[in-house]
Amino acid sequence: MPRIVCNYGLHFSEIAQMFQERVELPGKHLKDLVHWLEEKHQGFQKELINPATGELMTRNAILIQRGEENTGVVFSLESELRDGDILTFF
Amino acid sequence: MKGWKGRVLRIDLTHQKATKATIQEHTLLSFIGGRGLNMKILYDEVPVGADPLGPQNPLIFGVGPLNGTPIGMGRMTVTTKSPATGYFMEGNSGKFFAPNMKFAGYDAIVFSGKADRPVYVVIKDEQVEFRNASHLWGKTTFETEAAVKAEIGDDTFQVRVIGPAGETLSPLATIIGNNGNSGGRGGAGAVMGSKNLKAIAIKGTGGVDIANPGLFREALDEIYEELNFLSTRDPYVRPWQIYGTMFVPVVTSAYGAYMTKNAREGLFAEGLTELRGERIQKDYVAANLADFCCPYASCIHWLEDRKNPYGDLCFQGIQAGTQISIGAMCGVKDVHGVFKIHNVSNALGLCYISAGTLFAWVMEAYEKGILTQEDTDGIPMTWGNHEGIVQMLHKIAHREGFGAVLADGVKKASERVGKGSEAFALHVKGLDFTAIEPRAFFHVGLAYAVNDMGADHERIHVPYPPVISLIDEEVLRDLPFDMKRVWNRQSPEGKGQLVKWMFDTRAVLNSLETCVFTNRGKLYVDFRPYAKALTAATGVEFSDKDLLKAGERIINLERSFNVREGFRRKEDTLPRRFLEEPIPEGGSKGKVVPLDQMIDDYYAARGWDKETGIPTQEKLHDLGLIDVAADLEKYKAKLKT
Repeated sequence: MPRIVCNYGLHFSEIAQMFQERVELPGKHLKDLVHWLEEKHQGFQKELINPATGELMTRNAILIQRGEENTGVVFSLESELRDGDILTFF
Repeated sequence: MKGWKGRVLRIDLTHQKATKATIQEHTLLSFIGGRGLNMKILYDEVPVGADPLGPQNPLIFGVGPLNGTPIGMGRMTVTTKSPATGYFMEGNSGKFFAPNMKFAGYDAIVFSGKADRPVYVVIKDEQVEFRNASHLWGKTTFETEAAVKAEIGDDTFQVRVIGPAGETLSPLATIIGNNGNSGGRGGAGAVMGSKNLKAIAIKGTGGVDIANPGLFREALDEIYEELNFLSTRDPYVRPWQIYGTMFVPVVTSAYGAYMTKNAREGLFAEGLTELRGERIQKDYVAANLADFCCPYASCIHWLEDRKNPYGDLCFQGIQAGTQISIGAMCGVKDVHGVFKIHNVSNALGLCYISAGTLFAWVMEAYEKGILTQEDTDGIPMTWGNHEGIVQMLHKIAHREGFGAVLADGVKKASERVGKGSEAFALHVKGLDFTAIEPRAFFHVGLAYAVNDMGADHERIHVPYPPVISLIDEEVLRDLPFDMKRVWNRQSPEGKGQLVKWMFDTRAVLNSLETCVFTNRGKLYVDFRPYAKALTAATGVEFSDKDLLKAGERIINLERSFNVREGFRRKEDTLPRRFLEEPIPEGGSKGKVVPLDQMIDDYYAARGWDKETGIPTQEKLHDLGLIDVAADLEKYKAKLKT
């Protein structure tokens, strides 16, 4: 169960009512995180997922910093998450 | 003539005379307007080697064929020879001066000469009046704007002013309007001050003729579609519409690129919490402000800070430049302190981005013991000392005490102080550095290095990547590079072509004119709607390729201006910090900018001489710059030395 950090920017900070939290994720993909976020902070699903396609909407961005790799953009709900990942939602 | 006005207003300050002249159609077709038109005028009229603070250096305000329409918004360009670099400079600013220029009937206003005493100029349509400004000399920008409007008796005039920093000819001085819109980094405020020109007030009561209103409306709808808050698919559109650029530190922090303590670090954790846009939006924004017809209705804000230890502050602010250059670069995490510095900078007519970079250098020099408290007039210039910065801003604006050492910018200050402090004075070509981290985004590093203005981030697309899935395949195929591949931010691959394209497209936007924050979504790459708008406005057929050619022409003219003034390839470089010192931690750690390879690629993409970085005769002829080509031939002997 990866332990990650989620940073919430802009409208995501309004949904979560916080700027950052540590998450112990029951699952290892971004879709699992989105599900978890929706259960805890209602509104993430609507912001992130296109209801017609079930895919991430491009009107938001999720950046991921992982270990020694440098920060990149997450494009897919199937993206794997690992221990120590830092995600930024905006 | 439709779209354009076809006229330039020439204001001779020496003789206090104003004349109007026709602009040749060929010039407008080749350079479009705004920034492009200004550059053409500057190139043609400034004698080589002219003193930037002398009467021969004109101060040029320009607007484009789309100004006065909703697509033009409030954008305009001011151009002159820079006292910071000795090369040209151009600065873009907004609000309502630009549409009023258009409504008054002008595509450009050129101020030349020097008044024998402080004056301000009042322009209403065809009438131009010179008024004594001796009683305004020494006043802040805010006081001056209020006084000018009161004296005119009509607060619908739009005003541009200088503060004390412009009067004392600091290259950090900008031109300010609407109580905080700043334009002209590189010393436009000093050039205005050198002419004894304290303020310009303008009002236009005419309109803009559109050749094909139906087609124009189509183009407008296409552009607005990409900027629709509710339906946009671009992740940067909504943040800009709510926060302006105040959201940027969240993004740059995620990239480990929040330039901190003179760019020694890329993270400013405490500062991010205190200075983040969401908090400022919630706690301090009292009203939203916008440019003329801007679809981003709250890109700028009116802030009220009633708990500021310096006293109540109500002011227009802030942008990412504030949060980065004043905040992180100087280690200032106190939001009240940052607000105060922002406000004092604007009041004095100083560029807070340049000032922030300057103070970051001061603080590093102080930390290293190169500067002592005795040097700094008893003020401890330690990281985060916002009170010290506020005091020093006044000294800079009035060239008093240590402020006199600092007033000419970080390059000259470091040369005066010496003792190795030049090594961490962050500037390019003499223009103090600006707030985007080149080690995190290699295309930014290349762009800063080869930028003919020096270290300025506004002449390229700031590092918010495109959403490639939103762009038509045929448009992507037409690009001379693979947009997906070149956006690998910390790879040098393809950056030459990318930066060329970015410079060219920015030149287009700054010449039409329109706001550079609006080319998101498909408009990031697809300039066909802009071409349609220009065609509809003017009645002259333009394609997107015509626009890009014009952009390329403008960039080549700008480079040629600098070549004539003595530019050499070695000046296309970055401060040593970005070439030799990796960011120590965060999402961009471990890399330095691999500049030399990228510069070679850039020159190749441009068709410029690889050894010198100078446009070739072939390139200039291809762009129709025949006279410029002849000019550079004349200077060949000088160029070889």
